Amino acid sequence: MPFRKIVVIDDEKDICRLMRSILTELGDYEVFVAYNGSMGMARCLTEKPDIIFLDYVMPQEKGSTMIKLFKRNRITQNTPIIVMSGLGEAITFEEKESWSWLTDYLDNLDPDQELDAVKIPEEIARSLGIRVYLPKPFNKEAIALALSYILTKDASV
Amino acid sequence: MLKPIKTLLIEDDQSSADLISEFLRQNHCRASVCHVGSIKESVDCLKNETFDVILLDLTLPDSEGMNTLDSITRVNTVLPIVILTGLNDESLAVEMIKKGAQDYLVKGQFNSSLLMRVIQYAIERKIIEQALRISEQEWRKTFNAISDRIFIQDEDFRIVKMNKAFAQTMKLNPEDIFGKKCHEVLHGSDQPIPQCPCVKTRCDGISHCEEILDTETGQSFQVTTSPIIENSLYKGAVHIARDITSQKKTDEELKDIQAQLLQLEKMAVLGQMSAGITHEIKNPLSTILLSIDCIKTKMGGKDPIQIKELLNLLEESAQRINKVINELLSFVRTPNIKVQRVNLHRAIDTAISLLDNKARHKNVICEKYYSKEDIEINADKLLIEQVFYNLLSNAVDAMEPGGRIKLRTECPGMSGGEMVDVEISDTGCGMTDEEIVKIFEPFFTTKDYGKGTGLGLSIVKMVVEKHKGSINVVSQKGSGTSFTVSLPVSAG
Repeated sequence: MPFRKIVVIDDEKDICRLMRSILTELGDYEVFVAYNGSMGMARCLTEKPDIIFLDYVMPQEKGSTMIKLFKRNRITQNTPIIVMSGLGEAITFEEKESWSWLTDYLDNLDPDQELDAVKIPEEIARSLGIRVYLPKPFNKEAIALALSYILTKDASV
Repeated sequence: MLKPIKTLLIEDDQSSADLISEFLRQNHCRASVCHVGSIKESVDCLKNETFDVILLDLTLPDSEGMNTLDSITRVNTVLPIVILTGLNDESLAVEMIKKGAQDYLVKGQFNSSLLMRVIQYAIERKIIEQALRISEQEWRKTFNAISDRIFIQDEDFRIVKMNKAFAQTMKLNPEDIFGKKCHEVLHGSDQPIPQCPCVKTRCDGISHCEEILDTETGQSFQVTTSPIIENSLYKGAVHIARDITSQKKTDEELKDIQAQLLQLEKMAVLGQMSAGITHEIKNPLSTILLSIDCIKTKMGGKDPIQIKELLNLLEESAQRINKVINELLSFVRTPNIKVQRVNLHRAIDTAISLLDNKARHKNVICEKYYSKEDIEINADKLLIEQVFYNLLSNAVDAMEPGGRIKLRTECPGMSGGEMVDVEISDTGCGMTDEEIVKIFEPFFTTKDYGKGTGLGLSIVKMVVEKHKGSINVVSQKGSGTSFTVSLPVSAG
C-alpha cells in the first residue's frame, strides 16, 4: 500500500484528534485535520490528499457547500470523500431529493442492526459527489470499513 | 265632549225597546241605537256594522236563556254585553256574568242614568279585560316560544304554570301536572330531592344552577331556579331546564380535538428537537466510542484491573444510547408507506420467527388460531411485520416464564373493503385503566428503567393508522392484555 494522505474536516476538535490517532493505527497514513470548511479547503489544496473525511453539519461552511467546492476544484475533484454525519441530519438534509436514498435505506434497516459505513450506490454517489457515508457515532471498525470501500476498486466512481 | 256610543239593542218587545232608546237619547246626546228583534237579525247586524255595546234580552223568538248569550258570543267576543232580564230570572243573569257578560239590568227596575252608567262601565271594563287578555296572550306566547323547559312552582313545590316545551318533554297534559309537586312529576318521589336547586332556592331565597344528567335519555340539562319574592316573602320559584346535551358533546369533541392538536404539536416539536439533539448527542458519542478504541489499542495486551471489561461496558452503553436515539428518529420520521399485497398470516409468522429466541428463552408458547382462508391486506410488508413484532415482543416481556400468547385472525366476508381483526392476547401482568389510557403516548413505558424506550406502541399505532386501520386494547391488571388490530382487507 502506497503512502496515503488524509484530510479530516470536523468542527469537533476531539473527533479530529481521535481520528488522527485511529487512522494512523489503521495504516500508514499521514493525517491532516481542519476545524472548518475553509481551513479544510486550504489543507486539501496544499496537501492534495488521497481521501477526505468531511463532517456534514458544521457551523460555518456546510458539508454540501464543501462538496461542491471540492468538485469544482481541479486538485480535489477526483478525491474520494467520506461524509461523516449523525442520522439526525438525514431528515434535515437540505437536498431532500438527493438524500432521500438515505432515509429509504434507514427505513429498510433491521432496527437491531448496527449502522456501519454505508457504501453509496454508484448512480447516487455520482450525483452527490461522495462515495461513502459514515454515520455518527462510529468506531474504529466502521472507519476501517469506510476506508476499505474506498480502497477496493469497485467503489471507484 | 262625550264619546258617541253606538248600541245594538236585541229585544223583541217593541215598547221595552222604545223605552230604552228614549232613556239613551235623554242621557247622551251622541247615543245611537240599532234595534233588532231576533238573534238572526242581530248576527247579520254584527257582521255589517260596528257597535260599542250590546244590550241583550234573553227571551227572543228564536232563542231563549243561556242559548241567547252563547249565540251572540259565538259571533262576537269583543263587545261588552249587558243582559236585560226579567225580575224572576235574576239568578240566571248572574250566571251570565260568569259566562262573559259584563252586567245585567232588571227590566222595569232601571232608569236612564242607571242604564247609562251600566253601559259606560261595561264598555270600560271590556276594554280593560281585552287589554289584560292581550297582555296575557302575549306573555303566554312568549313563554311558550322559549325552547327551554320552564315551569313555575309555588312555595310548596306545586307546579302552577308551565310552558309548552316543558309539557311536551313530560309527555303529559298540563292539566294532569298542575297542582302536583315538582319532585313527584320529575323524580317520582314524594319528598323533595335535597340536591335539587329548587330546594336550595326555597331555603336561601337566591338563584341556583345545577347540571343534571337524565340517565334514561342521556340528555344533559342545566337547571336554574330563581325565586319569586313578594313583600320579602318566598312565593315560589321559576324552574328553567336548558338542554345542553349537544353543547356538551361539542365541548367534548372540542376537547378531543384540542388534545389531538396538542399531541400533533408535541410530535412536531419532538421532530424538530430530535434532529437538533441527535447531532449534539451523536458527536460526543463518536468521541466516546473512538476514545474507547484508542484506549484499547494503547493498552495493548496489558489489562491490569479488568479495564477492558469496563471499557466494553462503556461501549455497550454508548451503543444503547445510540439505539434509543435511532428509535426516536424512526418514530418522528414519518415513513413512506410502500403498499403491496401482503399475506397477513405470513407477516405474523415472520414476526413470530424474529422473536423465536426470546420466546424460547422465556418458555413462552404461541398458539395460532388463524382463519382457514388466507387473508391478503394492502400494506407495507416491513412496517406491518414491525407492528406484530412490537406487539408480540411486548407480550413476551409482560409475561412470567410459561406464559401463553394467543393469536387469532377473524376472516371477514370475501367482498373486500372490510376489516380483518388480528387479536393478540397474553397471560401477562396486564395494565390498570390509567396505564391503558397512556400506552400509545410516546415515551410512556411500564417496563423497568432501561428496558423500553416507550416508543414501540406509539410506532405501532402510527403505522396501523397510516394503513387506515385501528388498534384497541383490553386489559386487566394481573390477568393479561389483549390487543386487536383491525386492518382493511385488500379487495378481490
